[in-house]
Amino acid sequence: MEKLKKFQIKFLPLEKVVEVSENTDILKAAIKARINLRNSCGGKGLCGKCKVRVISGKYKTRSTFTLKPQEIKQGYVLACQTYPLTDLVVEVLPQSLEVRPQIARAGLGVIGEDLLKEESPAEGIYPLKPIIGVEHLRLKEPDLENNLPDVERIRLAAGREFTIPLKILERLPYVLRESKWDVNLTWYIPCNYVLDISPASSKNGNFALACDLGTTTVVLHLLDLSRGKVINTKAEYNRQIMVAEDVISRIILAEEEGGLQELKVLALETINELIVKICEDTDISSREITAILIAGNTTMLHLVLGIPPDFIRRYPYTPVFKSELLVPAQEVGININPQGLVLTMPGIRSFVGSDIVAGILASGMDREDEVSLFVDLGTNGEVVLGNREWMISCSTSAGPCFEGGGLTSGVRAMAGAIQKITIVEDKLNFTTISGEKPIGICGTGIVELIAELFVNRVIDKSGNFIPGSSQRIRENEYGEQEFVVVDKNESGSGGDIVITQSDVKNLIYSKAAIYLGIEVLLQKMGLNVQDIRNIYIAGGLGTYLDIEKSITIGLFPDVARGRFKFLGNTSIQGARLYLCSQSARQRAGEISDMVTNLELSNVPEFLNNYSSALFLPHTDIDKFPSVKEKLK
Amino acid sequence: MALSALEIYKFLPKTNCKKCGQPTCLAFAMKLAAKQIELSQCPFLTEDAKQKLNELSEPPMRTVTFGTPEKEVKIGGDLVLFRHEKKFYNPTPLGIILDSSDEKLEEKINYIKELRIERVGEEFKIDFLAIKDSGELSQFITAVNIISHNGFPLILISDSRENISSAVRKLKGHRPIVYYRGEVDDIIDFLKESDLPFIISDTQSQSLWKKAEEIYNSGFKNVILHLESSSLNELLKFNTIQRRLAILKGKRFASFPTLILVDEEDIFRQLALCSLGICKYTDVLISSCLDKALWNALVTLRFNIYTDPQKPVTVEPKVYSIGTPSENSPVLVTTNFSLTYYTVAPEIENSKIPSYLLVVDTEGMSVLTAWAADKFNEKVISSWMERENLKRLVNHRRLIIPGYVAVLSGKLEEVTGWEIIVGPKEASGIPKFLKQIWRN
Repeated sequence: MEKLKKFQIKFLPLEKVVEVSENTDILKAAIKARINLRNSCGGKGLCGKCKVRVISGKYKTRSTFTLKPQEIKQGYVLACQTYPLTDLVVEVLPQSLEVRPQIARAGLGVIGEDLLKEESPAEGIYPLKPIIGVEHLRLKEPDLENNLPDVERIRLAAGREFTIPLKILERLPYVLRESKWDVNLTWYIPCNYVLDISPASSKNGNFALACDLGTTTVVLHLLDLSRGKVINTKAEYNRQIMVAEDVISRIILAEEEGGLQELKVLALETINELIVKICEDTDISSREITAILIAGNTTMLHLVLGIPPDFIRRYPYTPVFKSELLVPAQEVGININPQGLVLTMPGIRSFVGSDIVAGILASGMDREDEVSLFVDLGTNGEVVLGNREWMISCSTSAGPCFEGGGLTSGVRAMAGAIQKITIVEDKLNFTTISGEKPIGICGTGIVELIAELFVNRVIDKSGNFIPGSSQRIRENEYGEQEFVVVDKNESGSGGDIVITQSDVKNLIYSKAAIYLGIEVLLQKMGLNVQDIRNIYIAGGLGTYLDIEKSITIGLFPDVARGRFKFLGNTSIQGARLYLCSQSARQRAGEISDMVTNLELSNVPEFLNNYSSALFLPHTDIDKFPSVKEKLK
Repeated sequence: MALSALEIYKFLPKTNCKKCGQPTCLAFAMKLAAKQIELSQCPFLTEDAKQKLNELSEPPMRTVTFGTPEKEVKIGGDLVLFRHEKKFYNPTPLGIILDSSDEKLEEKINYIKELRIERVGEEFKIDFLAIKDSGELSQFITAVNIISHNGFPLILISDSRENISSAVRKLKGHRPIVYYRGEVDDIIDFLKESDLPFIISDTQSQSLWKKAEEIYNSGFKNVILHLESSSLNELLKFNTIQRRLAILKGKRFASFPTLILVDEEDIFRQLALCSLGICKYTDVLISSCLDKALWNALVTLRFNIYTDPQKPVTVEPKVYSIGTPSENSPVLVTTNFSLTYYTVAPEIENSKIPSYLLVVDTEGMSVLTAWAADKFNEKVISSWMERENLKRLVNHRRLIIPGYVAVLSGKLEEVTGWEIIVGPKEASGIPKFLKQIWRN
């Protein structure tokens, strides 16, 4: 067999070089170089997001599906469709690059110290009583009169029974003797399961990680459980994006041969790399971290543990598990103390996961007498309605719009993303994240743009452009109407930033899905919007969302603005509570069992409600009195 | 009165014990509110709660049953004023009235027996017969015998107490509806004893309701109301007010089902009265008309009114010809959700390019939903391509798939060997797309 030729590929402006064989496409080369190129079709040449420019070298390309003729002339290619024939120099375009996610938190600005102080409404309700215990034991040295075995000695000193795993027993006699019988015992309190026995001098705290394993973003908090404090925070895009963008695509990939393993490894790589960064930052060794609690949607939890998620997407949508699982870290492949534990936070159903249990816990709605609404905005919009006595949830498929996906000029919330827009007499003003040159519009920006277009009567209530309403409307090369937000001469991406007729429709589909979820739950319980005391908005997007404009487009019900509370990343907040308080852990278990999940596909009213929400703000304008007033 | 899930929930133990088979008490309450589960499934209800819930959860419209040992017919039982709120239950049974003195009685029965109406693959027949006593007992009994031998459920109409009780004795094991044309009080003991459903009537709606209230208060539950009128206006008014009293006001005397009896010379008046009844709340319909044309129209109307408006409506999965396609015409594929089909098909038509549209069975799901639920994948599509023999239909091997399932293209190409062309995401893009790619 002929040996495959090897070529060097250099990526600019990052100056990263990798060597790959001739049958490796540029997207895979970039993955190898640890460059996160955007890609949402799984390397099938369909989404056009991995566009790069070859500056020098020869290559062959399979498909130029999404490229324009002049782009092809200029050397633009789709990375996933292009193979090297010689060494290559490739320019990575800023808009093709996944960058570090904007971490949700209250208020605007850059990630800073105050992130660590971010608190949820439930903070302080649950007493600090961590689920992991660390006890300093000074054992009596054995002698001939008292030569009880090592394990009995520990039990006696601690005054408790324990389960000690074999791996720890293997080292126990040496640890005890080398430490001169002065050790720290770390154990998982609910099961009396020992996680670590180490010399007292080697450990200074009770360290554990809370992990929000999102479809898009992974956030890690390092906690000192003894003080209930966050010591360090890191966030990164979930590497799984490189092979499949949304939950369903990932399940489909997991069903293919080797797919589940690939997804598992990518999730683990993401988590492990964050752990390395946290450890570098804090001088705490990974051995000192004895637990990691993972909250995330049900599919993500299946994938990170390598449990087949196949049946999550098939009728009747049954996950393998929803309760707390305990697995030794070594077995999972997460690089903390090898005998430490990976815990999963309890969830609800296939499409309402433990991130939502965490959210309910963090919002404190499960303790209130009055009825609250909890909305987590993302590709899947999860909605929960209820109070301390009952709760009902549903998941609505909102599509990737709110994360900037599926739109002509959509980008994730990254530097250069347009996130605030106002239009006054066809004059358009906007601000971008970090104030950089605009490269596209993120979810919050799209919501604002649609609201502004609607209020300025550039689009009608069905979302159609009104002819002659703006100089910025034109017909694009596909014969579709589009509205130019930023001209290519002023954009940071080199192309026009536009919103097309189908982008507008797409956003209407998305917002209708969320509103539908809210309305169906209210109808099921015989309540109306005015019965809702608090509306808790969670999720990365939620924090930056303009509430007034969200109501204008009919994303949220038209109630007093003071009832809306932005909570930020409640998944990580709830995970933190869970680790720091045994009663919070117990409450999470109760929430997991008490929430009644409604499968919307099983709700006959679904279609009616949905079609009536496919308007701005709604086909029944009287449901939105303040918007009606505004339009007068 | 119908209870909301939250009202029911208040009476439940709230332990989420799962013994009823539901994951939570709230889920049980929702099932109970939707009448999809029995109250007795909850093992931990207190007697007090049980009694209250039973009282409160009595349906706003009573269900009355009659029939033969083989065939039970249900009447009434509706929960809503408007069909789109939930659905209408128990399609109005359609019956023909015959006279016991009719010389051609047997002939007519045989004719009615053979009266079959087909509607989208389902066969319908006349549901029951009403027999009107001419006064002659032996004739009446003979007629009742013939009808019951032919398997028809019966409504017995007579002004003779004796004739009715003789007929009922003959009909052992059957459950006919009794329509005594005299004062109900005369026959009340018989009705109580036999426990058969019966009809009360009046020419005035106010006095009919008054009678109904009295009957309800004396403990009768299986009662049907008949307003003797042939005025469209009066019948519509009566039926509407009756249903509103039952559902909006929770009036128990208005919970009885209603009947109309149409005996008109003019077939169009027949049709007008019967259609009104089916559309607006009549629970049992009797007509004197034997003309199949009338029954055809009524069965179709009833079919449409009583389908569940909330089930996804599907179209038949098969290849549809749009325009007059030839062996060179494009082939597009989509799902059998009717909304999807009716969005896609007109856009293909707009393109003015005759095409084949392959509709595959996705259990009524739209494109993306079906894809996510694994009902619209390469295997499903290729098996429908085989089944519909696309290879014979066209001489090219190119298939256009919806843009939203572009990810399917690779696998579909492998499985089918056809060239897969990714079409636009939205149906509105089809005309332009087809014109561009199908120039040959």
